[in-house]
Amino acid sequence: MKYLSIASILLFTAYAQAKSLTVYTSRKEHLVKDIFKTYEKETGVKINYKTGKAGALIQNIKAELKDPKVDIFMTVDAGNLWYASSEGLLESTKSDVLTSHVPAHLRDRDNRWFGLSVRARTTVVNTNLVKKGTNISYEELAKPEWKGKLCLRTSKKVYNQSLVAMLIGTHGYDKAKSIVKGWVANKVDIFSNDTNVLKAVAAGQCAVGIVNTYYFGRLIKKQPKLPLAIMWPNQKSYGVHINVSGAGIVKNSKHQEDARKFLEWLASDEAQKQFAQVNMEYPILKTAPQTDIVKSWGEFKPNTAFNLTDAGKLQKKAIKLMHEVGYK
Amino acid sequence: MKLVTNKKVGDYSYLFFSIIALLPIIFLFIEGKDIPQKDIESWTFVLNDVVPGLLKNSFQLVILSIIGSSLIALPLAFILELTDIPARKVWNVTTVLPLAFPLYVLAFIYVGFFEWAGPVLTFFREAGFDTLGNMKFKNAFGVAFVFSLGLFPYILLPIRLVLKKVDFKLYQASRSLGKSDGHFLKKVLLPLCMVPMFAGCTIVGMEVMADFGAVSVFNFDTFTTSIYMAWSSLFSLGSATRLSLMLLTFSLLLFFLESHISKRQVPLISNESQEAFFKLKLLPKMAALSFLGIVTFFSLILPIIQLVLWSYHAWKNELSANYFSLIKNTLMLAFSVGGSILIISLILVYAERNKHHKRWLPLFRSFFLVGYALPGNIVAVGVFLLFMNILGTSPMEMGLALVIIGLTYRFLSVGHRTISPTARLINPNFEKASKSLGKKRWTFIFKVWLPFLRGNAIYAFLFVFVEVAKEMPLTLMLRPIGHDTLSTKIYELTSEGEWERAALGALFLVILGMSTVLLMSLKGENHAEGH
Repeated sequence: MKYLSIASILLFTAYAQAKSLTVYTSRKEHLVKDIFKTYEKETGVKINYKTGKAGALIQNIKAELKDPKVDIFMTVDAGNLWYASSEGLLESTKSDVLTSHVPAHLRDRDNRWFGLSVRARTTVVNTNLVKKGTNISYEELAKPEWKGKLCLRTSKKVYNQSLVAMLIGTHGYDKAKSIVKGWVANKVDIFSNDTNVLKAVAAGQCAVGIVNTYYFGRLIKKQPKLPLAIMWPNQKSYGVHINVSGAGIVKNSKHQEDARKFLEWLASDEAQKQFAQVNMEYPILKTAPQTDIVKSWGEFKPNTAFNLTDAGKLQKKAIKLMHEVGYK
Repeated sequence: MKLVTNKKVGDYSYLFFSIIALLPIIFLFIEGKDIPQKDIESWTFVLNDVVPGLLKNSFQLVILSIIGSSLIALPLAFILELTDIPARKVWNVTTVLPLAFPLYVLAFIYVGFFEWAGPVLTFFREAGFDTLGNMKFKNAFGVAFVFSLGLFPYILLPIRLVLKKVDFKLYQASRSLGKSDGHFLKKVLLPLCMVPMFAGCTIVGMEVMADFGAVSVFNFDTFTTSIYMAWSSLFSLGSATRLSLMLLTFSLLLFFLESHISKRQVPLISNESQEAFFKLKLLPKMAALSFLGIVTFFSLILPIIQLVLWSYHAWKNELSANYFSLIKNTLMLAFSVGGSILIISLILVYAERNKHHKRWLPLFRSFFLVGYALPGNIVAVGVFLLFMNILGTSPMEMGLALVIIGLTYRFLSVGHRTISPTARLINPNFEKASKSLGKKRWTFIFKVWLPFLRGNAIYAFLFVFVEVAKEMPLTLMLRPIGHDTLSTKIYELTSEGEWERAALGALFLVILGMSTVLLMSLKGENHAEGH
């Protein structure tokens, strides 16, 4: 009897070991923990994870490449995903579910990574200082009429590097440079994070700031009375710049099949809802419902012409450009 | 004959340790040595366009921070060690506690206060003081202000340790020769303080140069932020390691300057417990008390109030997070690393005794410093590469051992530096005398050597403990899956700008640091009184 129970425990552990996946993620624990739990409950596959900075995690994966301990790399910003794939760390994944659920401009051209949620890098205005219906665009903000009215986040943040990469991709280097130069001439101050940009706009230090949508969502949820509103930029041209959080399967992963299933699940209706909701982002899947707060920001035209892979490719140029015009 | 062998063994083990200390960095530079074709453009850009600005910024910041912390530390040391200031025991503690604050926490708190939209400038503008109300805080002076508040104890403590040992008879002699107090201060005490002050300034300088979190909050470009930029945005490890090499060069320069100066140590030791040199009159007493009060207010009380207020707001949301296990993990890490560094430092310092005339010593001692002088994420990559090459597989399989080794490596010099200067004050004749009396070497170590160093050993453990608890980038990278600490939790929340939620973790961290500081300083005092 005793031996039997030991044997069954051993069997069980063996089973449990077989059914587990390891995720390295630069997403914050509180944004992914619950969704991993949900998957565990539904499928019995245990998700182990380690959080960290994207650069360090990529270094870890690189070192382990021959004998990886990790199955999935999950991070934010297409620039990071592009880099991981360009270093040969991600496996190309064949999946009809993923290719049909994730629009082409939000995934790698070779299907090595897939966007899982969308955030827009929008303009937010102080409603006391900017009239409703003002025509606003990234290009417009470089014009002299916005002098002393613009607040920016640091150029060291990858979100701004991707935004400028998009401008380079859209307009070419020189035109993009003159736009960013205009921003720098118009800027009042530069902040270390988006929340502080928003607070400065709300306080009237500047009239407009460029931030990711969910930062606006978080702040306004806490302080609904702030005189802040999203004013979608470039609605008459190519649309607002968007970016993704996404994931890919690590090269040589020992659980490719399970990893693919997990990614497919993340792109499914139910998971999409939870994944986007927890951080007030937009689901990648059109059919997944948005939260009320996100819905209240209204419909907008996203920039679908720019493939996010290019944001990664142009990142170095973007950094150089921002340095040249003195965007700190 | 046996004596000679022992000496040689000591030398060899010392060489062995110092070469081990170099290994991670060697591997780092092997990895970064060849810049691949695609990275050459990045490196040219970094070298020509970024580096000149960095040199200016770093130089400015180090100088300003050293001046700032010395201006706080030097007067405090004199007040606390040499005068009959009331409530000295309270001040003894409050002037060490700021060490419990991670610099990035202090930075965020003060940027929050002094930003345009923050309470202070808003108040000024509403009161009609527009110039003050539009003041810029996010510049070199602002960063140096925060560094000075957070780092001055590193200068204060070594000065105090020396002043504690000044012989009262010297003062009496000076008085009997008709010299004024001012003369004694200027001609005897100040020169005496220069050596420990310089040692402290070196630590401050290195802390400043290796800091990443605080300067990021200010968006102030230094070597560390650019190393990070080169690595994680330009994706060029080669450029990052080359920048690290430059940073390392500056730190080593500081170090050699310091070891050159500290050779001129004048031992004026007395082991007698001493009374206050100067009895303060009412006015100077008031001035001294207000100075202490202002420093304590800005370095301690205000930041704590802010953290408590934030935690109060975020309490309900954050309570679900498993803080118990975060605290447990933090404590475990800090104790293991503190312990291992203490032991290694004592061995090293023991091996160094009587060797201060040797020319090679400063060079080899500088190797222990390497881990401390570089930003944590670069050290982490070095340690990671080292074990990857030794093991031939992912070092993550080492589990907790990896992060403990990494942190030991990173902070070894903190322990070593805290113990080594006092060890040099032990007269070599003690050991000879002990030997000639037929006592074993161990008897000397345990009866004389260790008891003499006990105060410093306690400080060393305390410094390391607090440093480890606060450390973020290395812990973040090398920790095994599931071993989150308070600092990694704070990183998670702060990197998303969720400062109110991070405050609870920061508060726990500060309380943890403070209770350690309290415990240690009480122990330290009991020890002092016991003599």
